[in-house]
Amino acid sequence: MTRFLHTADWQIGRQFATFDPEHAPILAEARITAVEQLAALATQHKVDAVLVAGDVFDAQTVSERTLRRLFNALSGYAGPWLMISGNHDAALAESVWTRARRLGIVPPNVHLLLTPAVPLFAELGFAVLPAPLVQRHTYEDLTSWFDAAETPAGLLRIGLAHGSVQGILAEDIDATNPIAPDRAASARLDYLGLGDWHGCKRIDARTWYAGTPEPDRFKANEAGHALLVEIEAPGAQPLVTPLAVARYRWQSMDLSLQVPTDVDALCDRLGTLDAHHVVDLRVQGQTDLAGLQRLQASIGRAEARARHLQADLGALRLVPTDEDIAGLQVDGYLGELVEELRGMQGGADAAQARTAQGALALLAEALAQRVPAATATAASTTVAPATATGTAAVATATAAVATAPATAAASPGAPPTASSSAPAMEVA
Amino acid sequence: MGIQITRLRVEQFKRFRQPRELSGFEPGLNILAAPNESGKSTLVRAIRAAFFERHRSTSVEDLRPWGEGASAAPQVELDFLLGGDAHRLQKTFLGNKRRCTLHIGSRMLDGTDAEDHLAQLFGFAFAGKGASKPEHWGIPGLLWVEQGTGQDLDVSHARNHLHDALQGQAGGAANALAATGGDELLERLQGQRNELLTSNGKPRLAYAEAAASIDTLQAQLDQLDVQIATYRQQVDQLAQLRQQHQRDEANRPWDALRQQLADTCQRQQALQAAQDRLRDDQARLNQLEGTRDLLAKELDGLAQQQANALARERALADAIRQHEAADAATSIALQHAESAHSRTHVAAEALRAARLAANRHDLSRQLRQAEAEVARSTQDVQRAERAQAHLAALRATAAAAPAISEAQVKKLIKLDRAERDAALGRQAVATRLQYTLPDGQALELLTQGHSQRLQAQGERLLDGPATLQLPGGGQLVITPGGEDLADLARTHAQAQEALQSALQTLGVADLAEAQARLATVVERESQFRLAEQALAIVAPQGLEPLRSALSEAQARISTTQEALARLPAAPVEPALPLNQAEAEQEAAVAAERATQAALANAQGQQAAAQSQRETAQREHAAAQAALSDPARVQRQALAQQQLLGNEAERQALAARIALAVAEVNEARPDIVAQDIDRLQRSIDQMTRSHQQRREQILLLENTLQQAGAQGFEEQHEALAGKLARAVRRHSELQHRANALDLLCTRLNDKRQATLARLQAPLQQRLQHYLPLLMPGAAVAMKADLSPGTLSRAAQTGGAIESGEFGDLSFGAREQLGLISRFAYADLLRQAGRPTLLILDDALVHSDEARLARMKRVLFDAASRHQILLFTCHPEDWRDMGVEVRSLS
Repeated sequence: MTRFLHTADWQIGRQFATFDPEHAPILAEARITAVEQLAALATQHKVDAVLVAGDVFDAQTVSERTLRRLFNALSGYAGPWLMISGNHDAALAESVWTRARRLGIVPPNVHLLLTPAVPLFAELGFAVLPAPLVQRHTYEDLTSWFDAAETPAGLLRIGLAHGSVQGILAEDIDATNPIAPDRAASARLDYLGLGDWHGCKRIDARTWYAGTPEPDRFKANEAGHALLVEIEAPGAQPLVTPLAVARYRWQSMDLSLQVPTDVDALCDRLGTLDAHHVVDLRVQGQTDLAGLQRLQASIGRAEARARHLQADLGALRLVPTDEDIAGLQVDGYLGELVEELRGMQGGADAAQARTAQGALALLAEALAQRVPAATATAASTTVAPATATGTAAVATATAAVATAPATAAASPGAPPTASSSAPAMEVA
Repeated sequence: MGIQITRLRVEQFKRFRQPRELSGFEPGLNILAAPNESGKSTLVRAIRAAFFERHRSTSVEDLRPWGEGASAAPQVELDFLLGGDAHRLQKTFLGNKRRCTLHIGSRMLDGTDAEDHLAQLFGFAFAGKGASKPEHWGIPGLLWVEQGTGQDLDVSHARNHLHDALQGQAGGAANALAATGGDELLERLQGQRNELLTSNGKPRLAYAEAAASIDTLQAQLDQLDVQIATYRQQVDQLAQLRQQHQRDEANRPWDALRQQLADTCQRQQALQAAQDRLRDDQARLNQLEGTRDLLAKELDGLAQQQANALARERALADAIRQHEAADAATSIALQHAESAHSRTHVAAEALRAARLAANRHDLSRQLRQAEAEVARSTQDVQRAERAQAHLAALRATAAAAPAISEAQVKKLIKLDRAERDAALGRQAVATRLQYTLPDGQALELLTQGHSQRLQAQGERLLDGPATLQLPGGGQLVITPGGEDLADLARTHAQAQEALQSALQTLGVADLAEAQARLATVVERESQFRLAEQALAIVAPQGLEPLRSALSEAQARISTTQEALARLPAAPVEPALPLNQAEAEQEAAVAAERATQAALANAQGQQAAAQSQRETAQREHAAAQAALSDPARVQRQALAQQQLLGNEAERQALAARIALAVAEVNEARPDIVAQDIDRLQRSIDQMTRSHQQRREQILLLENTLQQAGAQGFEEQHEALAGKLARAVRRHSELQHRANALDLLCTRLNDKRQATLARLQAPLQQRLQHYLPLLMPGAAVAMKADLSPGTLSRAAQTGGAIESGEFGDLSFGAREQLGLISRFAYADLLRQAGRPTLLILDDALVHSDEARLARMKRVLFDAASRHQILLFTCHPEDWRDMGVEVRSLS
């Protein structure tokens, strides 16, 4: 019985710079942590070797500190780490690997398999057929030499490669670095450990993508695992077990709101987010004023809890209900404007519609902030119950909106009374 | 709220030094008339000052009475009813006494309180500093029309008051039209918008910064992209260089070249040796050729000697033969010369004889000639002497005969004709006396002393008194008539006398004789000339030459005879003719001369031949001597032998050289040298580039190590992230700015539109008055509440014409301006504002018809407002139903 821990695509050095500067370093740090986690798992499962199928580093010129940190992170497992280069860290004339070697920070138990040659680990019972990338992109199958490569009998033939298995992955996957789908069979491999695809994926019984141990994209493809591979003897079918490694769950939430309960459902979902979530929220469809305000509040709360939440409400159309309009207490030409903006939202011109939506939101906000006045008392009491299920923020807004007309009505002959502003103040 | 001024009092105010008070103002129209310069404007100014100027103002020096010192305190007192309450405003300006009080019923306001109260009530403001200006005047500024400004309508300073009034007018409809709090909302949104956009829509502050930040980041990113690209390119280059380096290191391509170089060098050395040998051989060959030439020359010399000796021998034989021939030729020539000489002598003798004979012959002929000449000369002399004698005889005859010339005869003829003419003239005039007398009877006629006797018959011409003696005594005196008879007679007499004189001179009796004589003379002269000619023919030179010629010929005869006598006697045999003898002699001499020349030539040749023969003999001897030298034979043998040896060696050497040259040419030493150079350079080049590549690799490694340490790609990701965030922020701000801009624009538009709707009541009031002035006309109000477009039925037809207020005539503008003010006043009054109208000299530019219409308008307006109309044309306003009060 030989055990391996198969992993790939560590992408050490990724910074997530498009994220909030507050979150980015933490997510970057998580990648190192994931490697430490892998080392721990390897030790825990007493594997004979850890197979790393390329893209250990995200770039060739990562900082020296990052380099050192990665190799330090391996210390949790004393067995052999077998690494090949991927497209991000191809073994070029000058590469992250040459730097690491130059710095003398590659531990002796880390085997950098950067040439297509067969190292034997006879005492461990296996031979490795590596297909490291030595160019950034190649259009030939680097594993083709496996077929003809001889290894001593009795040793497992373990292939390691980085690229796209032809015809299996989605169409839009880069066509570079192709790998024949039947390579394991044709090269008589006991196991072919692959990298490049960030999700955990089985190609056949002997061919697997381990995926990245710590997700780095909003893609629901089972990222965040390592594979425990157990092989009884040469020729035996390997037993492959995915092990969860990821610290953060990356989610892409793409939703369309149509009815008010959709907002509730979304708010509920947002309510479940915690510090392990990295979320990309895109909302489209339409909502009324209250729904929008509720959603915004919900997002605000979720942002505070989640590791990272990026929300795009650009495609969401604000469709105030008649009650909303009534609640805004607009009259005269303000009323007309609100109606106009509502109309423009549905216009054919997308840019104008978006501008109109923004304008409507701003107008609603501005109306909500108007100084409360005496005439608003009735309005605030009637509107408030309807919005009571919403958030405090919405209540504030609505109350403010309701009290707003006071300003306009004010005249020299009608000084504001103290009582009229009281309810709004209380709500705020 | 109605206002009615009831009393106005001024003191020490501009024109009025003394107190001046006006009272009894009507609630409606009040017409105050005054001529120019009589205080009308002062009163208007007083009312304005009472309201507009702070009593404390120091900028109202113009209020002082004219010519007064600083002590004067202009004072205005104004009583008016307002809202049913009696008000009294008292204001004193300038100096120490300045104050302001306002009594309202029993209440009193003092100083600025009073002023501010009024300002609020009437709707105007005070100047913060200095004199009050139009922008402070508010409603009164609109309603109080200063002299000559009725056509200008600036609503802006009263606009807010009008708005308030209009809002009030709309009443219950206001909420439907205006938006409550719209202005405040707009202001707030505008504020938010202005945080992002400039007034003309350009991004500013955070929005602009966001855009700038995108640019900056993009620029940095671009730079980083370049650096990364360079880095990657260098990595690729390094890989390539290493590959090449390793290949060279393994293959060592220069080693093969080095071996090649060594081989080539060896070949070059061998070639060099061959070339040296060849050079030596060629030198030796040259020597041998030199020797051979010398030997050949020597042998040639020896052969030449032998040939010379033979030639000398032949030459000698020739010379002897020539000498002998010359001797023979000389003797022949000598013989020829001798015979020619003897022939010459004979010819000379013959010639002498011939010459003598010729001489004798010649003399004989001369003698004969001379004898002939003597005979001829003698004959000539005789003939000449005869001719001369004839001539002498003629000459003697001529000398004896009288002479007469032809001219003399012609003169005579002329005189004769004149005498006859005169006689005829006298006869013609003279008295003819014809008589016939019986025979025997005679009568004596006495004329001029002459007495004639008349007998028989005849006639007489009487040219003078004549007396006819009658027989028997008596006499007849006849006196011819005619006056000139005497003259004619005298002329006749003169002519007769001239004729007679001439005849006498010539010695002839009459003309005929003279003519006969002339003929004789002519005949004689002719004969004379003939004789002379005859003499000239015989002796042209005269007689003497003839005679000397004769004597000469005679002398020659004697001379010739003497010469003949001296000649020897003639030989027996006849001599040769002279010219033949001469020719023969000449030929003989020439022949002799030729033989002599031939002899001399022959002798010359003989001498030369002899000399040549001697020379040839000498040379021949010398040549024979040389040939017979024994050393010469020896030398010739040696030279022959040497030449043979030389030839053999030379041939061997030439063969060897040809071989060597072919060999060297084939080997191409120049190309071999080039090969060596080429190989050497290739090796240098190869090793150098190998070295350079190694250095380049090191350099690149170093560069890449440094670059790698900079973490370009990390930087790139960080920057790209920042850029993405900046773009997001910019997009958010843009969205917000667009939304705000949209809101502001729309709100503004709507507000304006709403305001326009609010103007409806004003429009209504305007339309109340306008038909009175211009039936069928309508005026649209502008947003600023001033009258805008006027439209009315065209005067010529039914079409509607329209024009801007500003484009109307001065008069029309003033009329429309007043109507607008009345409309404002109506509106303000409805809004509870006090509305006092003051018109200072208004409508002076209106025509009669328009003025009449405006009077109706004015009258109607006066039913709602108190109007103070100041005018300097009281007669224009007598039909207004109110007293025209005179101020003067």
